[in-house]
Amino acid sequence: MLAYIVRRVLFSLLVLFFLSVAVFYIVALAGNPLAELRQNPQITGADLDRIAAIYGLDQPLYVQYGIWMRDMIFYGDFGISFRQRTEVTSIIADRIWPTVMLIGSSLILGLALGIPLGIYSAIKQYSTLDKTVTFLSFVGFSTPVFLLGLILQLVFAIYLADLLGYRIFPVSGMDTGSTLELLRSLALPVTALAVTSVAVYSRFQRSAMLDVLAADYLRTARAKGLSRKVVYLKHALRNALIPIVTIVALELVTLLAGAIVVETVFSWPGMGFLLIQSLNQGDYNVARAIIMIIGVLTVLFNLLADLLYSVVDPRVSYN
Amino acid sequence: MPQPQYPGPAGGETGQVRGRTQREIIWTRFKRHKLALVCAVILLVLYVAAFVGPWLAPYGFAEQNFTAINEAPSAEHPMGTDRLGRDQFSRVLYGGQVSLLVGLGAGVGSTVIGAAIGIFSGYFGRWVDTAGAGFTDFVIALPFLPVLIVLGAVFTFSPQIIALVLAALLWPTVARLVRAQVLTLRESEFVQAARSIGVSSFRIMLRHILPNVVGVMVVQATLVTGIAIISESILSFLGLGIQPPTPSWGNMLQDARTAMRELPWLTIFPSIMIITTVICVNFLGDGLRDALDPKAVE
Repeated sequence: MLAYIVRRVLFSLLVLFFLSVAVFYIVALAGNPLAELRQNPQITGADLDRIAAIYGLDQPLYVQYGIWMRDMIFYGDFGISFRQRTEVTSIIADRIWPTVMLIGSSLILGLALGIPLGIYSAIKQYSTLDKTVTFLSFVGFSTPVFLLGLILQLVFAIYLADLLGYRIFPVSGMDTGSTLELLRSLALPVTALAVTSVAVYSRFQRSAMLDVLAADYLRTARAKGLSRKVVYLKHALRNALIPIVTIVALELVTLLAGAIVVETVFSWPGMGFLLIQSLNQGDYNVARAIIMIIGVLTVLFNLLADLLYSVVDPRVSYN
Repeated sequence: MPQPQYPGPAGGETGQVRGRTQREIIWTRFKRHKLALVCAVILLVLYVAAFVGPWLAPYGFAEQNFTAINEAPSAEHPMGTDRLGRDQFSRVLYGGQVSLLVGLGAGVGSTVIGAAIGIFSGYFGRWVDTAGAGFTDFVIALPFLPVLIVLGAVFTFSPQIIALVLAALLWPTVARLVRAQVLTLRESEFVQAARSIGVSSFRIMLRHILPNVVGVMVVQATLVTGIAIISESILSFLGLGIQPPTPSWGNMLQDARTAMRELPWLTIFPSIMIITTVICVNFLGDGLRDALDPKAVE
């Protein structure tokens, strides 16, 4: 087991190393961060050289990469935004909380709806509700998250407001005026992001529950006359919840990617929206930093899912 | 796999029943999945429309008509016009060509790459497998959307390049499934028999292994097509994929955002196209999976 963990961790580090090299060099291809200054007639060539020397831009790329990595790993410093002329770390810091809030709420909503739906579908297999949930989760899987966002925006923010003459949900942005305002501005983005999660959790919980319901010890439990409630909730559910743990870790990866898109649709001031903004504005150090943060989290959650898989289920062994 | 052939019509006077070919069995099973059948027809219509479309399209995709701007859907313009007076029906047809081509290209491309790597690493095992499976794990571990977004932001993508990039990122699932099947096929009697009479490894893979993993490949090609269509639309929607004036369903939706309330048809029609296509692709994949599963019981 220990050997397995060590191997997985080393592998994850290798993936991150490759990702950092690729992201650094690809973004470097996009252009010189000082291009904007070069167009300024008041700045001479000597000034440019001086500025380039201060920020290490006169060094070869692999040296720049080394410095970037060193600062990132040892000092948590992501460099300077040449566009906004501040530290990348302080730009990103403001954007973390909105993203955490968005992803956290979607996760909770997804679990709160998906798991009961999955359990119910399994207990009442092939009932109308089961078939409806199956069909809807299929549709949920197939709808791109940005499209869902657009549709929610059109229906619930624009048309509903026109209909009522009163806006319940804002079209975009985060409103921190009061808790209620915050919840109202959070509602649509969270829904857009959570729909896929609900689909994933309900499908997964259904099949996990069906597996358990077919087990011998469940027949024993029924045979000795326990009530349905006890059989389902105590004997079946406890075991059927185990595999969900790994799915939650994997789903966080999906939510991270989804957040980039949903935040852009709703102009939600999180890291995903910042990523797209900075790429469109050529603010490349910010983009690099966010990609690395998302990359580290993605690799971490994948690793976690992998390891949890063997920890929560004693039947899985890697020896 | 050849089926024994018996003379005489099915249930004929002789009472003998003609054995069904593999193709007939698959077709019978597939037909039972009504939704998949309907979806196959819809997809066929969409693909034909997208490729014949440019000849059918009443207007060009960039053709502007300033006497007909911001028009709601009408007989003249079935899907309305935008603020440049461009006919949305024509643009949906052209955009469909781009979106559907990218989807199909990525689906087929990733399946070919994935199957090649899966067959090689599964069949040869040892260091080939270590390298192949390791590479598969590696690509699967990359954060898909962020990587795609960075590439899209730095390079200008043509539809062909997007299809290639998507194929290069989406093949690992195919490789894993194919490899798992090859691991069991490799030990099967017919492969051992072929090996014992001196058939070369390459020929075994081509003639004995490949036909047995085609089922998985077809299903995966279908599913990846759906993922690729979604990915392209996300990328173009973010302004990092297909660049205007070339329309794709994704960048049409981005274009539509500036006037969602006033010109809702600009949002509605491309949305319907994307959702319909992806749902159909997924149902088709589902139906094919059932039909092509060799272990399915009648």
